Amino acid sequence: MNWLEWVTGAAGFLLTVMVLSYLIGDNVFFRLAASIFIGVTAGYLAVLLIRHILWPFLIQPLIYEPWQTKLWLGIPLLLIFLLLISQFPRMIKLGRIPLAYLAGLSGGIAIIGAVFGTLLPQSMAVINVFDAWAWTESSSPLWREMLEGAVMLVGVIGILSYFYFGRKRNLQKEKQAEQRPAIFEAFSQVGQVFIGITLGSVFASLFSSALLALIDRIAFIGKFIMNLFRGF
Amino acid sequence: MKKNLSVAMAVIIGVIVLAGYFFRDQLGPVLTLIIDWGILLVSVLGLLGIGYLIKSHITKLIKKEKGAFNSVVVLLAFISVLVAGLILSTENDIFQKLILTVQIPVEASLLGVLAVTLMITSLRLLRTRGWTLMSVGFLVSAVISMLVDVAFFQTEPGSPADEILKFWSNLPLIGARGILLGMALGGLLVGLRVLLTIDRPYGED
Amino acid sequence: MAVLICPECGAENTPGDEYCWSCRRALTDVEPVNDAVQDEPLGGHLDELLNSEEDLPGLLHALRQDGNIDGEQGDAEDVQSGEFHDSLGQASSGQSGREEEIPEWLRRIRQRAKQEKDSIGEVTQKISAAQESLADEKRSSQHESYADWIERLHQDFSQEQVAKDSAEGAPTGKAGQLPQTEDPEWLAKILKVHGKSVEKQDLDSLSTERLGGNSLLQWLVDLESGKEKLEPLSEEEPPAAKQSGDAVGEGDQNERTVDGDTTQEIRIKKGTSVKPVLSISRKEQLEADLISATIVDETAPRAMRKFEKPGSPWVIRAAVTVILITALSLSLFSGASTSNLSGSLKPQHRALITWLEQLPAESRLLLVVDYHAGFEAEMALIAQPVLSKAVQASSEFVILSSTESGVLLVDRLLQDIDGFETLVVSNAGYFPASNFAAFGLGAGIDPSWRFVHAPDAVNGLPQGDFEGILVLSDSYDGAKTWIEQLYAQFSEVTINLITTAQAGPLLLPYYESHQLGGLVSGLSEARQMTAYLNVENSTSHLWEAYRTGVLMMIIVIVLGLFFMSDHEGQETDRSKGEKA
Repeated sequence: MNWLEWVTGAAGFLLTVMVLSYLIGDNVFFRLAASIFIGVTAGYLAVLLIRHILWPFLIQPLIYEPWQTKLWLGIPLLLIFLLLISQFPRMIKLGRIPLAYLAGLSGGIAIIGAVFGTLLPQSMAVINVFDAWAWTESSSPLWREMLEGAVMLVGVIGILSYFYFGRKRNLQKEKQAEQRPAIFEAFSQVGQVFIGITLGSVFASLFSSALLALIDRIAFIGKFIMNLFRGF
Repeated sequence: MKKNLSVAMAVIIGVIVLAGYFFRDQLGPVLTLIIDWGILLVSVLGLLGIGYLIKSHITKLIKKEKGAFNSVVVLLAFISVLVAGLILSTENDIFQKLILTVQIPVEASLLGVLAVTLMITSLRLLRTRGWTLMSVGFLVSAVISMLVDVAFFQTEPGSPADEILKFWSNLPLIGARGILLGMALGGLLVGLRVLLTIDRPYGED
Repeated sequence: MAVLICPECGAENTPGDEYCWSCRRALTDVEPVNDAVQDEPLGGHLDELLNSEEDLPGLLHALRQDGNIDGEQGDAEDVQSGEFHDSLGQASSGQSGREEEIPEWLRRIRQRAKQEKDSIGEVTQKISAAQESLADEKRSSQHESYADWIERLHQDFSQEQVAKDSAEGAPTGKAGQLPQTEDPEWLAKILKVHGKSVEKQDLDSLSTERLGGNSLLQWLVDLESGKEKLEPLSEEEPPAAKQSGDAVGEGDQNERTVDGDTTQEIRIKKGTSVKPVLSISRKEQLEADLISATIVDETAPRAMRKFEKPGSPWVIRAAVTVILITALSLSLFSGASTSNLSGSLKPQHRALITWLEQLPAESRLLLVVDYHAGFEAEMALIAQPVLSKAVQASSEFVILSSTESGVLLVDRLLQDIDGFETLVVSNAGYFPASNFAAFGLGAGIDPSWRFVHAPDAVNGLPQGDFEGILVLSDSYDGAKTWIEQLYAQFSEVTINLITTAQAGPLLLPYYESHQLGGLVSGLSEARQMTAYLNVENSTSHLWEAYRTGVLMMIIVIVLGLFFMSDHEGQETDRSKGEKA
């Protein structure tokens, strides 16, 4: 191992131990490691934003490109200027314009992604479960395909009932304003079961990822100690 | 006037994005410009956020509040990485190693702490929530998922046990689909509310 | 019998009580008062009342002085007071006791009138309100004539009387007129004593100058205008009084000045007191009951909740940590053999492998990096087999990162892959907003026109066609954003997803809906892929430790079930005990 590997190995070892010491309780070493991490990450992010985005796409064109090209950068420059001066208390309202720009952009993109990226394909997938042609072509028995289809439909409706999105409530017919109609209540009970099953699976998967990270850290510590002893 | 201008800006940009999706050939370059400017704005916002972080630590240091030592560490780390990154560039080997040497151990160790925390939390899994439909389904699904993941069950393909296992493996898919649809509906509603100016996350008078 | 009158609410308490039963005020500083209230018929005292010349004027003086109404001291009219009408809500004995204080019942009435204005009779209520308004008007220089006040009072009273009688079916007169019924008994007696006849008067003819007739109202008006005078009160000095609530001497009225106002004390004869009867409506009673119940409830002693000291968390945390790390270390460094893989490939893995095998030569792939440094180890285990296969088929990788460390991590990832050196890698860099970058990827494809002099450098997103897209993600949110936007923009391009275990379950529907060509997530799936693709991989040394950790977690969950059951029973018993 060369000196760089020694230094990075030692730093990694120390930082790993300092963070894992949080398992015993909050202590000064953990906070020190967290502070180092925050400082390094903030610095690196600043470097990335300046070097990878602002310098090549804003500052360099302003310096090296012809005036016609510079004119195109007037609009983003104006928006950036409004954003910067809105940091002063008196000018805070000027920051609404660039923020509105971002809000409109995000809103439009979100709508497209939600509709064409999830809603339509997933809804079609639920409908296609009842495709009789697909049943005949599938290797699974027919009763299983039908059962899976029925369970899929009931489950999806149950989950949506649990969240009751866009449900129009007739307050006159409900005993209390908070009570849902009986059919929604029944479906939401089913939805709860499916949500519980899904979240249980997610919980298991999350633990799996976290466990793998812990195993990797233990392996790293062991490898470093072994290299240390070999070095001596 | 400022309020109308910001509202008009949000609506116009949103409409152009939506229209650009359907008329890509006609509005493609416009969309490209709008998105590039948006990325520039987001970058500046990110820098402003970092600035606020540094400012708060400097304030803590000047006022000698509790935790000022940690603020010193943060500021030192920030300045050294910023200077090194601007001088050496992000493609430099040493700079990359420096960054990854800090990020990988800390983030991975935090995940390791999460693993132990999840294990401790699972002791009180049902005590906190009680025996409800959701909690029982959660528990059973977690245990079965873990057993299947480590290949604890060995089943013959085509056997009834295998069929049952496959059926059970599909159940999280149903829940995930419902959750995806619900989230997509939510995202659609939020986007529509912004474009119809019902919600104005950029501030109001 | 002596009683303790609560100065706060006027309730009677037994001597010796430390706190008032009604409002819980301390009574240590209250002197017992002889309860002069006796249940005697009013009629027995009527002669005394009729013969008394000063009781009614004194009473009225006392009432008027409460409202600070100007009244001239004059000779008291020889009026008699007897029983007040029931509609007034109180019966007054017009006692002419020799006590040194105003009648208890009157004092209580005044107190209650101030505090609970809806608990006494309507007319008295109106009198009090009228008194206050008159006092205000006097202070504010807008002085309303006394006569107008009397007139209004009379009108209100008569209107209510008419309404009441009509409800009861009694004959009523016109609005504003006294009903054509008998005069109030007390009024009739007063007038009879003084030899004045009762004349029914039309209130419309009442004028401020002369009301006409010999009604009490007229007398009051005359008093106000000075035409009538009250008899001077006795000038006997009362015995030294501590407070205004002190017991007054017997049979005499004394005048003393308190705070600049002349106060007339009405002496009540011993044994002539009549217990006041308050007429309270049912609604008022319910409200009063509710208030007193609330007060009682607030002052009731409450059971103290025992603070449950939580179990020592650091002990449990330390124990679990030590046991887990020890078990993992032993599994990791013991060199235990890996169990054989079993089970068939899942459909999503098979699809990914098929796509990799069918990739055309010299293909151009887009590699989207959306994972963080913490998942570097897991992603390396999962992505290496897939990327190894992809590198063999493709000639160019275009790398786009939506995480700050993605650019560094992907370099590290690709460096460990055989054949990486021959690959052309175009690094598009870091884009902070993944949804913008994803949307922008499709926006600029094959534009048929461009803006003149628009800066090329502004558009940093990679352009051109791709044979396939590989998304490496560690979270559900990031992967979902990329899949949604990429599928909306590039529905004809195959999108494959390599993700960590935590994001896998929620992203599977995208494969089932054919939005993804293939999907692999988690260590166990990566092992199956590695074995199938015959790629050298370092998952084996981690697998045993991973299995150990997962089995430990299952044991902990099952232990928690038994632990929770006992504890739940204890909590249920405790809560039942509290309720009892």
